[in-house]
Amino acid sequence: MILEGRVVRFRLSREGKAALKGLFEKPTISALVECVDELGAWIHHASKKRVQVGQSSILMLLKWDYFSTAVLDYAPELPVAREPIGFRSQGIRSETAKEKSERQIDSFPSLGIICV
Amino acid sequence: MAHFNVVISGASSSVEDWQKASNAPKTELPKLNAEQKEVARKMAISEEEYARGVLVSQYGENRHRKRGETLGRRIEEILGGVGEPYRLEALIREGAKRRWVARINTPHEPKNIAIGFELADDVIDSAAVQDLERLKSLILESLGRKDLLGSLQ
Repeated sequence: MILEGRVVRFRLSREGKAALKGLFEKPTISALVECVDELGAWIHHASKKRVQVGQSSILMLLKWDYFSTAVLDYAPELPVAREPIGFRSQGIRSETAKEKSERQIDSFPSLGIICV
Repeated sequence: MAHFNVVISGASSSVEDWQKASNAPKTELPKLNAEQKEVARKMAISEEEYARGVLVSQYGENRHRKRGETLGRRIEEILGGVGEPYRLEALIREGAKRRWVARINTPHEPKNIAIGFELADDVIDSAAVQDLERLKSLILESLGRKDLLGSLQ
């Protein structure tokens, strides 16, 4: 799962609540993940003070042990339509590439998933 | 208006998208569906906070779509030199694979051509002559029309 560049809602673990006491008002935080490494997720956390577009902001490390679960909106990547290899029936009109592409797009609604 | 479809798959957002969504008026926030409302409730997040997160994703997707249209126009310019039967049908962004896939109709069959983000970003952001040449080379080679490499402007 690629988390970079996605808004993730983290629920703090018991350890995270204790370690981050005073930093967050609620046990669940929404954050944009800048990157992840072996330490945890580096996040842009929304502060009460609004940051203007273009201004630099501070990244915060949320260690892996500091959250118990996370939720993000997820839509699976669409497979690129490819022409079938083999014979094609002459009597029945086959689906055009455009129709196939539209059908594939329609069949993948956005999903909410939970990573534990 | 673009003659081709731009499909954004696996969009990512930038800190600018995040900041813009944080400052967006409540009236601009998207409506949550039932599933999203349920997740917000279970995670003890306000619906407004959840909606701002959705808005970040929408900003990211729109930004990628505009970039795709720019890249697609460059591809169309190249195809214009090849001839009428070659037409860009769709441009698909595959975020996880870090590439765009251009689906081009040819006289024989549709062809999918993968363009890595590195080249695509160079073409979109700077469009220097050497970047456009690299794109042209990739497109023509993939279409089996290397014979046109030196002749197209």
